[in-house]
Amino acid sequence: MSIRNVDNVTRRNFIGGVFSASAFVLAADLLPQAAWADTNEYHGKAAAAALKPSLYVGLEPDGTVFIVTHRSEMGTGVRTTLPLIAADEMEADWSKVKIEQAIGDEAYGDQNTDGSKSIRGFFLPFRQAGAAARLMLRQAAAAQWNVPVSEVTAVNHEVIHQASGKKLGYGALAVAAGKLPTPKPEDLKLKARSEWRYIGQHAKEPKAIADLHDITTGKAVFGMDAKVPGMVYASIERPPVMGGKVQSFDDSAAKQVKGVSGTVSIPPFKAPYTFQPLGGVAVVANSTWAAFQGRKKLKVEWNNGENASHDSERYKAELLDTAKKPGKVVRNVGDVDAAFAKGGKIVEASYYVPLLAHATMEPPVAIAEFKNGKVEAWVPTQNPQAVQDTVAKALGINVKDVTCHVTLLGGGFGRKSKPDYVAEAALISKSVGKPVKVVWTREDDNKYDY
Amino acid sequence: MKDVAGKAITTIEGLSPAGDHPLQKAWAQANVPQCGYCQTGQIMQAAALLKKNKKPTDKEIEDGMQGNICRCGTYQRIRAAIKTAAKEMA
Repeated sequence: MSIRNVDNVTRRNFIGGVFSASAFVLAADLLPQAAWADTNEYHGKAAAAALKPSLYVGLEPDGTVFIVTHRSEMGTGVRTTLPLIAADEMEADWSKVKIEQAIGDEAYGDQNTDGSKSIRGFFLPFRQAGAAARLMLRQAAAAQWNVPVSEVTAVNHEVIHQASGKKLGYGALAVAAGKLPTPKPEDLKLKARSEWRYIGQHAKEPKAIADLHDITTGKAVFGMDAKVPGMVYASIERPPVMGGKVQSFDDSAAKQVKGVSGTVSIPPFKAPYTFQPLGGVAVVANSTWAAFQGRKKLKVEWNNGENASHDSERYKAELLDTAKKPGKVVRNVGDVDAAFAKGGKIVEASYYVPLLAHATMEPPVAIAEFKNGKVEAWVPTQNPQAVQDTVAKALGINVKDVTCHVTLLGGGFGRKSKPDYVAEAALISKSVGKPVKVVWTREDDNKYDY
Repeated sequence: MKDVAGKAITTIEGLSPAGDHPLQKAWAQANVPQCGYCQTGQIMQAAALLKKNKKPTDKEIEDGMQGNICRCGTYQRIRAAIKTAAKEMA
């Protein structure tokens, strides 16, 4: 693990205006932890290549600490845990920490919250970000008191000079600390395990997840709850066969449904079949309900394309045949045949499961607004950078012109790493000139999950 | 929908003005939610259960909470929180 560079970011709007102009903002742009990719072959090369964590801790002169979580919250608690790690190393008072959810931006490093790797990948970077802030605050206080840095300690949002009894709160030191050069990683002394204030302390002193109160009072904003002014709703009739396309459609009855304002054709899916909008006809309305009802009245003739003859039963038979053929040996430990020959009870069984939907409780849903050649989206997504990429490609615009805000996710399970549903919303928005919320039904999710 | 037409409906927003209904407190104490998406519905279903049955057994909680799926699998904590709330409300 090494820090590529750590520098002070003073540009106010760098992360969407979270910090005031006078805030002390520490930006650490960090490389992956080299060791962990080697220890687990399951994660392998992709993680080693892609993991370039970047994180941000900011301290306001009023003592408020902003910690940006760049990973998505779908029930793991990561939105709370990562900031706790930075706060611990910073010796920040948890009650003064405010958590900000990052938009999609490659500057943050890997944001694909998938594969149970948020803590493994970002434990050290978040500790280093907190530790750098702590050291700079100590340095600022020592300079003010004209004493050696080694004589001052940082404890729970204060810097203390034991010998003279002097104390300064973190807020009072924010501006001075922000003017100091950012320490090199080798100058950072991370806390010893015994000094951890929050990390690993759950059994002794549990910390609630940051969104607990909002969740139990109905204030939490999931993608399904998100709203923007002037928004319309869309429900999409998609091809019954992957790769199929609309031959013709009649939307006259759909348009008679109260609340329906019109329909929008979504261009057909193009091979290779990787997580793009599936195409079809969208019904746009002034409520989700009206869009659903209008969709039921659509008459669509499909051209099922090259997969029209796909037969699930035949495919299953092929899979079962393949499973019986000799495979490539990737691991061979001990002598199985010899062990079986010794007797004992042998249990044999075959298992088959069909293609299963991820079945997030909150089905795919996204709001997108196309305006002046740019897209702004509000999405329960595990991967806001993939949203940028996919939406940009679908609309033929630059990745930097796609802003993706991340809401809470009503479950993810990998489904919401794939942003096809956001591109659908963006395409429809471009057509109707308004922000559009695309809502998948439960049936859509079961039928069109990948 | 016709079952509820014309009826007064209490949602999570109306359960308690300050969000401190015994169920909400018990939910927080037991750290019930994970993703949280189903939890407002779980709390309201639990409120309806406790209205009818002030001291439900495990079996009665399971029956009373049927049909409300938590994909994160927080059922054990939901049951514990309902029992805590029932005690407080007794």
